[in-house]
Amino acid sequence: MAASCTEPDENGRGSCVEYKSPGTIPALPNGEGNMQLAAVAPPQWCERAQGVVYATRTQACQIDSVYYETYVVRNGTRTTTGEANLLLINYSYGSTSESRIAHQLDVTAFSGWGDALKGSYSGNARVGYACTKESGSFSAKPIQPLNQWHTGEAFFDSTATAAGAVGECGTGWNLTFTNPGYTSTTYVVPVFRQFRCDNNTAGRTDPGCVVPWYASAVHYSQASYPDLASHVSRAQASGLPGATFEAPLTRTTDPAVNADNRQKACGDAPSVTGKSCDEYPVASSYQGLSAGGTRRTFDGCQFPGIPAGQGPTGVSVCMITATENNSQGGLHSAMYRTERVLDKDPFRVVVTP
Amino acid sequence: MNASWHDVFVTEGTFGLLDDGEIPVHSADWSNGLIAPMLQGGALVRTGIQTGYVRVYVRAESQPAEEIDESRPWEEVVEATVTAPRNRLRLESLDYGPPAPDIPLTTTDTTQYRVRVHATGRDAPQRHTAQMPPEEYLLLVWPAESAPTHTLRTSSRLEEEEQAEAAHPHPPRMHPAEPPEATAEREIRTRLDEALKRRRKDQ
Repeated sequence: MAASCTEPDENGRGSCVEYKSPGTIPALPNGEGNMQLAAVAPPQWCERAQGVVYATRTQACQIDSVYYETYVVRNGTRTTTGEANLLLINYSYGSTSESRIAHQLDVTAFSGWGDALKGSYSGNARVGYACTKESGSFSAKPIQPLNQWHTGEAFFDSTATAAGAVGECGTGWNLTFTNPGYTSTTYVVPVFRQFRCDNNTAGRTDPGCVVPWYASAVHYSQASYPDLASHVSRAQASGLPGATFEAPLTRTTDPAVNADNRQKACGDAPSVTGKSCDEYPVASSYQGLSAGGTRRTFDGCQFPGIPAGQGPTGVSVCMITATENNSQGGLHSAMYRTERVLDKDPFRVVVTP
Repeated sequence: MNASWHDVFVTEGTFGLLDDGEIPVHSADWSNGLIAPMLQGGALVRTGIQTGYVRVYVRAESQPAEEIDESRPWEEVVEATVTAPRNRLRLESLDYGPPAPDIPLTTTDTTQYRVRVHATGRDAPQRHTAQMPPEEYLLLVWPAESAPTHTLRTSSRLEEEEQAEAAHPHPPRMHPAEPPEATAEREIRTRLDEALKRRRKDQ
């Protein structure tokens, strides 16, 4: 991003701000210094979000760096009179059962010299897409001392609250630098568009907000569901997706796709007392046989005439204890509801001890 | 009393009588082959098909049903106690939520209910999916003290299911088996929810 500079005033003084890719960062702020606000300490994993977004289903974080410069023009010659390097932590959080999200901005200057260090900064929260600003607060803070964190806090309300509504929230901050004897300049922190709010999650009547690209997990406990866990472990080990963030499953809410997946995988399943046909990837995903591919199975699965197989395409079938199969439906539906997993959202299937 | 027929989408061989949409499946008691009450609220009804639609008639009663309904040739009839701590018991597809119109089945003065499930068509051979709704269910719900599950009319399928569960039981758990990171995530979310709610309260 090119530097944004003010024109020099009648005394030839001006200032610039510029986005900089963050290098080495100082320690992250903790919540104790920010108790005057309802601020929440950003999680430790924010440290890894340098120039990229890291998230969970209800939190998102990105760290950027800003360069602030003061200058003077005399006799046609431009001279830098001070510099400051600042870190910005965009930390946004929401709730699966609230239509409100928060966007904190944590700021510190970690190096600099000259007149730039005599300045101060203040923030104004911005909003866009299907959200309105409820409040925002970031009063003027001095750039010095270095490594002193300051926090701005803003809250936003989704407008996607009517039954069936879905909408994204875009939030941001304008950070204005003021300095005695220099013109003010504003850094427009890029819009943070991570949260989707909805009142369209089947089985829920309340609105809520999530980071839709984060793949939440449904857990299959080996202790509780040994047949199911065994089948899915072997299916994933054979190359089928779903275990990792890199290769998640994606949910379908189309009953026709769901039924087609099931019919193609288990329509000719054998009749075994106390057992029912389990297919992986699950029928409620777009990775079922409606997307193409062939069936595979494993030893002990009681599925005659189906070969073993490898690779990421197709499905695995196995006869498993019927109540474990029934439970699987409840496990997935509960996760879809809790995590507000809508059509085409990614999710993971994780086998645990 | 409230009553209606619904086409309900089946998820992995079940549909729900859920309390406020919650599915605490870890607490399900599978010992009966037709209805699995969840100790933490609600129940799952086991169907013959794994995926597709079944027809369900649900009716809230104020008094215990005396006679077995004979409006259909019900092949299986089971009565069980279902708790509703949130007192919002509803018929639901696990995948798609309550069918319209959404009819609440609970009253305000109790959280214990008796549910009589009547079923026909569950035993159709080799029917693993269905586009048409061949299976039918009648659910009668009334307030009542807790009592053991009682099978009023059985079938060979129901007996086989109960024997299979007895051979490899999956006892109900009061807590889900989940990894530590899931527990930690839940605690973090509680904190974030509180921060957002605190903001609402401050207004």
